Amino acid sequence: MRIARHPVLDFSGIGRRQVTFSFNGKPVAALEGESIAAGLLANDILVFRLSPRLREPRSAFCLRGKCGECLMRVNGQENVRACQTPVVEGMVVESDLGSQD
Amino acid sequence: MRATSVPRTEYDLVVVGGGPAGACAALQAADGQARVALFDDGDRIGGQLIRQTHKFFGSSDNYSGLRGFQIASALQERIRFAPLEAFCGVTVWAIEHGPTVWLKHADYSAAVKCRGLILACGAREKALLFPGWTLPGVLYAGALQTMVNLWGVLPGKRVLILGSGNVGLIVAYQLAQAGMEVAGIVEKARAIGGFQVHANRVQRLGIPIFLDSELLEVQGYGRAERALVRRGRKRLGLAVDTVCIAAGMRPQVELLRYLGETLDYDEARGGTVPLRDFSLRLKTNDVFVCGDMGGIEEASIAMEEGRLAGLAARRALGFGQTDALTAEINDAEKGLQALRSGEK
Repeated sequence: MRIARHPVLDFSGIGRRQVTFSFNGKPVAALEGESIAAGLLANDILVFRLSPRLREPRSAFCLRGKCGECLMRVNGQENVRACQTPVVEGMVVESDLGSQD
Repeated sequence: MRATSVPRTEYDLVVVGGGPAGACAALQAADGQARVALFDDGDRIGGQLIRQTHKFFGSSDNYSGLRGFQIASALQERIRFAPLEAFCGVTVWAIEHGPTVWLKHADYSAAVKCRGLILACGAREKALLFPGWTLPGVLYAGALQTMVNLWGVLPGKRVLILGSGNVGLIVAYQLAQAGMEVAGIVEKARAIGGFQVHANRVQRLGIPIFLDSELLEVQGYGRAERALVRRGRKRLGLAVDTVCIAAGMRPQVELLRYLGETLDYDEARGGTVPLRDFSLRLKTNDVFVCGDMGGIEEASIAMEEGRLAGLAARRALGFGQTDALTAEINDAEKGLQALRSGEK
């Protein structure tokens, strides 16, 4: 969920356009300029993918492009880091279930 | 700062890392004569300061009284107008003797030669493994700060924090500030790890600190739902949807291995640390290390170390008057001592 009120920081989102992208076929509303991961987490979508061998739920982990836990298929391209990639209107995002590497 | 986006092939001085230490080092070294380049792998200058909402203390030279993200903005602003070239989104992945630094950016790769080198690569968090550590909702302090303080997004409603060092205490306060309920701070030792100032602030909010306690397991279906904690000889089950791990930091010293530098072990400063002389110089000629990369300390100390390294690099490379620089270096060393003993 998004922070509604903060004593120090301004997250009112005023002047930020809303964009819609799809995650595993479902529409998700996000703010222009934010990362795919931020958009998903803001909508309480915490499970980003299942681990390839044990099929355990995994979420974003380091949020700074280092760990690879948030890799997704974006517009057909595999292994895109959701935490480092800004959302774009109409973007097609899918959990990268098949990839082993 | 030059407006071009691709670095030159040669500089007098290269600074690796644009956190408080590296930014201050580059600013101090950029005297208008030396050709200085600053490389950072993040999207902006400021390092960890960009996700800090609390006010810093230390001396007024070190921006005390300002919040972390405000200090980062101030450093960005100074760098914009300084006679140096700053590049973000650049990873330095190798160093050769010479020195030559190897860079990787999304749009280019390059080898850059320099005469002097200041390394300020910072630190990373110590990992902690326990049953349930891969569950969604289990996060490290740095990631939570990115999510909450930069993205404006909350991972859940109720959080348990692991570790009562300064990072754990500060994150507890920041998460409460952002609207999360903090169920408590778990600390293995029998005493609080961080500064009393930070602990007081957390305790004023009514956040309990469980001493002599440890996290045994995080349970949940699809996400964290419950944390199992040992408190003294009792067991505690806490309903939380978020677990924040703040088990301490360790210096990122990997690049030093390319130089064949001897590393030391100092538990109090985060583990493996470089061996430096009083002017922060390594065994390798004209290579300096400052900030958390040299041992985990406070941001104000990182900034002061950055200044010292910048001055020492100028003296080593022959920019400026040696006598005047030596006097400034002595002052910087004294300032650092004062800061460490809490006088300033």
